[in-house]
Amino acid sequence: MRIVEYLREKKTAKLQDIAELNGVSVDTVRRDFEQLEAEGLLRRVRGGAVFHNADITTQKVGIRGITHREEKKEIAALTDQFVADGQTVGLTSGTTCLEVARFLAANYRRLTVITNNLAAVNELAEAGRFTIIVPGGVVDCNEEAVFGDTCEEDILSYNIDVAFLGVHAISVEKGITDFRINQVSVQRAMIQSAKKRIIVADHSKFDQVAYVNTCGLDEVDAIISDSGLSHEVYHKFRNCDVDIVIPQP
Amino acid sequence: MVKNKEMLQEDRFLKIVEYLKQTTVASFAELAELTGASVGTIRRDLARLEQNGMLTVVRGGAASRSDDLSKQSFDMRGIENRSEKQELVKLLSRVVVDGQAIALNSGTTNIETARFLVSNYQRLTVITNNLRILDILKTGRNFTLIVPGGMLNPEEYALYGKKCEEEILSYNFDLLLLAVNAISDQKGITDFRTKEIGIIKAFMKSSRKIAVVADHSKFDRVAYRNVCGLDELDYIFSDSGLSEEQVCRYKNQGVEIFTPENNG
Repeated sequence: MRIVEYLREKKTAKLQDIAELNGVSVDTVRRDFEQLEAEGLLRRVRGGAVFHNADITTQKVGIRGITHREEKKEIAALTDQFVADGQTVGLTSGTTCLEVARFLAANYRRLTVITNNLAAVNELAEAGRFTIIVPGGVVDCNEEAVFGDTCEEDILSYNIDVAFLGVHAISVEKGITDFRINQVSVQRAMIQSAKKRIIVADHSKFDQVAYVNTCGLDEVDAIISDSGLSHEVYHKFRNCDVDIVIPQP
Repeated sequence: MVKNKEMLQEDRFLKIVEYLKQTTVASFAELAELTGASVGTIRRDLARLEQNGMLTVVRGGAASRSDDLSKQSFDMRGIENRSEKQELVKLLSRVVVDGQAIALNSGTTNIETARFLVSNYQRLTVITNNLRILDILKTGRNFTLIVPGGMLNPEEYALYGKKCEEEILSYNFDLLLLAVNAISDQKGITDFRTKEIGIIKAFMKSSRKIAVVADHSKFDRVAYRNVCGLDELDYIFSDSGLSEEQVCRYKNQGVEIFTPENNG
């Protein structure tokens, strides 16, 4: 792709310049840019594009399309009943925990956060007020998170007041399960190290079963979800003695 | 000065900072003409750059900050001498081979190193304690990336701590690409980043070969903390800004120096 090569070299590109280079219209280039941005190869800015890691002023990690974004924000807002200033908080990988990180960054003065979620680290670091600890290990670029034996050992060496776990599947019969085999052992380490273990999951994760077991519902202190959770599902889980927190209507 | 069509913000920032380095003080009007932007846009740019420690807004314009690199945050230090850094990292093809395990410490030169590696290598295992460098390395789709766990320093955007150093020591690397702040033929490698020194020493212990990557502005400088002597290095990579005389002097200390003119 000529555009990506150009950007790799020059770091920035104007719509006009690329149009001239390729002998096409500015509109065509604009569409190309949209396409390439969707593929994560560049970031569109006013008048052109930048190679997505060349942003010298904000250096934000590219945020891929987040599904159920509003629901995740609702969930993040409900975490405040579990966290007090000065505490040690754990966050796992995924976009729900990323929203929790944003919420914490905006609403707390002092926290120690232990997280393998690299996108969350970005949000928390911008606040500048928190102590942020990242466990070591191998980087999973798709998850934007660290994983591995070292990661688990590091997490186990800390005492966490409250851990928020972003999960992909919750079921009455099978408890918490997941597709991300790398992340399951990290989650287990968080569960072991934390006094309070709170699942954060939007309504689409309920009544789902994935092939790896994380833990049973009895190992979890509460589940926070969004207003999209149906009454039926809510009561089904309440009847199993699980504390579910959702927004007040 | 020719009135250019309006540039992208990032280009404007670079131009403003470079210009101020030469002139020390500049008015809004000067900067507007330099970049082809409106004075209003320049005001906003300057406010932003001041926030990041790159300059000081004064009555009628802006003044460059003094050359105290230690006060500037990691992100903004990256603008200085960028073309020299890009020039020198190209020489790394002499020592980096696909399949190797490479360590990159925290340093703005290694931002360019990371870009170079991603563009020119298919398979590498890379470890770094700097999360900005990690962001760039992530674009190397087939790279195995490792991060040593630790506490985040928000200014450097890198991880530090005793545990971090211990984790680094648990690995073996083929090559350390070492970004430093000061090289002297009298005092060796020195640095002002106290926390980074422990990390550097751990990386050095874990690596078979050590290559310093430093643009010419780092030479014949001494910072207040010692890192190591020149005899502990295998290679030094620098740009064409290094004088013949300098190259000779450092060669006489027994280090293999690569610049575009020498062995490059």
